[in-house]
Amino acid sequence: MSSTDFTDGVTLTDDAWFDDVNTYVYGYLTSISGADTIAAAGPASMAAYSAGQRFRFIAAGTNTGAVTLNITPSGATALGAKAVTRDGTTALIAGDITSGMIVEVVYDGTRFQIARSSPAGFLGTANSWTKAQRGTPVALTSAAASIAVDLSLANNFTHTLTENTTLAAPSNAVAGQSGVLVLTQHASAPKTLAYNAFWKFPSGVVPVLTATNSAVDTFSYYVESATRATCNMLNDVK
Amino acid sequence: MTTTNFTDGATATDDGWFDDVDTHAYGYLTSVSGVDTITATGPASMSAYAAGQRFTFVSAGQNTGAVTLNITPSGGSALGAKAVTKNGTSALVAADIVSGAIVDVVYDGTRFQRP
Repeated sequence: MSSTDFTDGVTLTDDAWFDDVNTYVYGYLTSISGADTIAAAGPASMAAYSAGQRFRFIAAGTNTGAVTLNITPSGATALGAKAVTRDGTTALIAGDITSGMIVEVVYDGTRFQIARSSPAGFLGTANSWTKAQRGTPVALTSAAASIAVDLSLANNFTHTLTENTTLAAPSNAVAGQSGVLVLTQHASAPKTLAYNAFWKFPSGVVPVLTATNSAVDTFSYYVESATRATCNMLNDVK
Repeated sequence: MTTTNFTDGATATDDGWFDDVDTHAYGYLTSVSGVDTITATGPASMSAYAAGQRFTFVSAGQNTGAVTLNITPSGGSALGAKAVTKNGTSALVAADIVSGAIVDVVYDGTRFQRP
């Protein structure tokens, strides 16, 4: 660190100080390429990485695993790839950086750490939410006697019956997902619901919808694997 | 901050401006110790806390509750402990700061807020 004392009338000769300030001010990297092995152009004023340097850039892609960043000062040669981490030395996991997002990093002398606010909220970190986290329900529709479900869209779903139909095998089923499907009966002519074999029930007993106008049945699920889910039904919730 | 217009050949005379720029550019704190009562060394150019100053440091450990930060300018004396908060004036709770992680704070005139 430069610690020049500037006093009235001095001639400014400390080029290292100006280089440091220039590097700080122009820390917005350009010519970004790569999603996991990121290369970028930095300010001409930097000759080496130094603890405390801060850079920001727009991600060229969504990362698929651990990430490195290699900065080439404008008009010079690359300074070398360094790991990009979070919360200290923790490697990034897929999706921590998404395409097009601003990423801000601080060099700590060994690696680039992602600078971020508190509290946590990163994938791959045990997070203790101190406020409500909600899964916005997605409304499902029935066509040709089949209800299509895309489990990547939400955890919780709703459906108002319009015909006798079947809950189809979902797309994008990944073990660990759980949620609820709230089923509302037809307002004037109750319908039936069958289930694809993906949906499994206690003792294999398939639940029957409440056959009352506008009755509400709540169906809960937990995806065990790409091919099955544990399910249960709370009938006639009122 | 004084506004100085720099033109070719001008002699720069505004040392206050240079001190402010220096404090901003060298806001990376060193000699960081403590997890809840944090002390650290800052740039020599700062003589007092001022609203808008931004500092960055690598935490020495995971906090267990509310946190204060006390910065000593290099070669100077400590400027005093100030609360570190989030979302305005909310005190930090345990584990808001992770050991070894980069922490950014901005002085708001009263306390250090995490942005």
